[in-house]
Amino acid sequence: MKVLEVRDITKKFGALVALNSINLNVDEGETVGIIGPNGAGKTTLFNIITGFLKPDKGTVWIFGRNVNSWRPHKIASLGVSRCFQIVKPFPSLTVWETVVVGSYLKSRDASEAHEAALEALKLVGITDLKDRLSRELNIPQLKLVELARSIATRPKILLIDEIAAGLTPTEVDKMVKKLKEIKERLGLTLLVVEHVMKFVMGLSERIIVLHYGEKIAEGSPESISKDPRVIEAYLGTKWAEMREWS
Amino acid sequence: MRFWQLASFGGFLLLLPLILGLNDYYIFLTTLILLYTVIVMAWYFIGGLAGQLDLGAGAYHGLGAVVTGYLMIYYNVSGWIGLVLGGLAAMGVAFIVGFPSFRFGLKEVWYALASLGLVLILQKIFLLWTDVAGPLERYIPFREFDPLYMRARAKWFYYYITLGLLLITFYLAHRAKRGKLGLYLVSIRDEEEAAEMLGIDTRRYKLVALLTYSFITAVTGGIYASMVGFYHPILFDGWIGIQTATIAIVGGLGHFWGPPLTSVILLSIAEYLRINLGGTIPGLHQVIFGAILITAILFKPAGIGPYLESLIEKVRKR
Ligand SMILES: Nc1ncnc2c1ncn2[C@@H]1O[C@H](COP(=O)(O)OP(=O)(O)O)[C@@H](O)[C@H]1O
Ligand SMILES: [Mg+2]
Repeated sequence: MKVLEVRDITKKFGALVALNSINLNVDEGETVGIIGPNGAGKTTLFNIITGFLKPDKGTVWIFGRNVNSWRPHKIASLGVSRCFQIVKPFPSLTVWETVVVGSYLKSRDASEAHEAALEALKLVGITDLKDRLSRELNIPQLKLVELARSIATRPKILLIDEIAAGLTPTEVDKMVKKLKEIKERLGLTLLVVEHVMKFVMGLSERIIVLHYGEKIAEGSPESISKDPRVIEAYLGTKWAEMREWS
Repeated sequence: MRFWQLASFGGFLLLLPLILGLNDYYIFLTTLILLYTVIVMAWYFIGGLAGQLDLGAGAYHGLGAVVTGYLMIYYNVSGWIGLVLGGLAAMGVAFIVGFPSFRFGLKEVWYALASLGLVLILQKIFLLWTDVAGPLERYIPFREFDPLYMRARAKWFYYYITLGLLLITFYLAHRAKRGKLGLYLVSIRDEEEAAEMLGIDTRRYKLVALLTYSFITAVTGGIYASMVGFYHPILFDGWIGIQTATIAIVGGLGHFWGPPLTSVILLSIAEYLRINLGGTIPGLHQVIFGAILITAILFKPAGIGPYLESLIEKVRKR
């Protein structure tokens, strides 16, 4: 079943075409990777799907509904959650309170919210950070807190923007494993934007490649890693990494 | 232990008019201090939790005074009903102003200036609207003691009304702080986009905070009008909002106990200075009050809230 459809989306910032007629279909339970060099338009695509930006052209359909005019909170209530590329913590809240904010979305009362928050913390494996203030944490920890508060809203579709940036190779492996586990447990559909090839390739069933706002390739991880246009787009910066992976 | 502390504090507040020797003037001053402290506590919703630097308290205070007073004078409506209707009127105005403000993401100094502008606009409107207010005071009929009409000569009557309002406001603020509303508002204050992505209708919750604050602030205006026995557009006073925000900042933005305690302490000092110095050198008390504020901000930029709160914790544990 199709849960998300991006249909012919164009987004311009002044003269800059950040996204040009992008199409994307995502089925329930799929994990789709979105890759592309810096400035390719990946985060812009997430901003449009979650309602923070309005497209100049095209429509976004989520669970068969046109959400173009919807505000982010309503899209979230529909079952879409997102981890931001640049973390957006709540500095004056503890990790526990942060996750409870998320879990209130689908809870009827405080005790239900607390239960859901505890579960989210456990799933992400940061129960030990529970009583720490967000402002005391480092970036990798904050990324995990974002993941926990996102899944506390009990989403059906989760968008993750560069969660593996700055992790060591072992940590990347752990993160892939963790996300797979969470996805299984919650029956999620995942959209992941990532620079770290090892991460996207390890996680995604299908990958789309953006380059200066154009979708230049789409397919399985294997076919993408051999696609000459992709290799060209990445030449210089990501080439070595891709070779390493394949 | 905790029970006895609470009981003795409650007893103190209840018996305060007696302690003041039933002196109307002192009770009047005490009630004023408590009324402004109610506003500081109501500001906790919009300023402390939602993080909007609202300076418009005078608008809602004045509105409550005019509505309550007008109904008492011209329709012989009980002040109690006037308080509620004044509160609702303030909520209406707050909605008209707040909806577009939050719709277009008005924040920080821009929001502060807009809210202060509201006070001036309402003052002008009621100066010109001579059917309701105008440049002359409107006097509320005198009653020796008429609790149903909410009017009495003795000031202790208003002291207890204000005390009740203060307790209700504390209760509501405390409940918000502990529950979903407070958590939602703080998350909006800290990082609005993240809050939105967690499914929070940020505009709606900011409005909830603004409407709660405006209602309570209007009630203080209604009590004030009945206590002094008249109303006048001068009650749309920009200074009230500035005083409220200043006290909340000095007391510790976002802190629960710091601002109201600071309010009681600072306003008591201010009144003391006014009574004792205001007569000799006019304005000297304001200079000293200003100096105290500047000193507090310079030495404790985060406010004295954290210190007051740890002090309370110590007393509690003893
Ligand atoms: N809000 C914005 N205003 C103007 N330009 C933007 C905005 N957001 C993104 N851009 C531009 O759009 C292009 C795509 O950005 P982005 O989607 O963040 O890329 P990616 O996430 O793939 O690195 C970049 O050139 C960026 O500078
Ligand atoms: Mg990006």
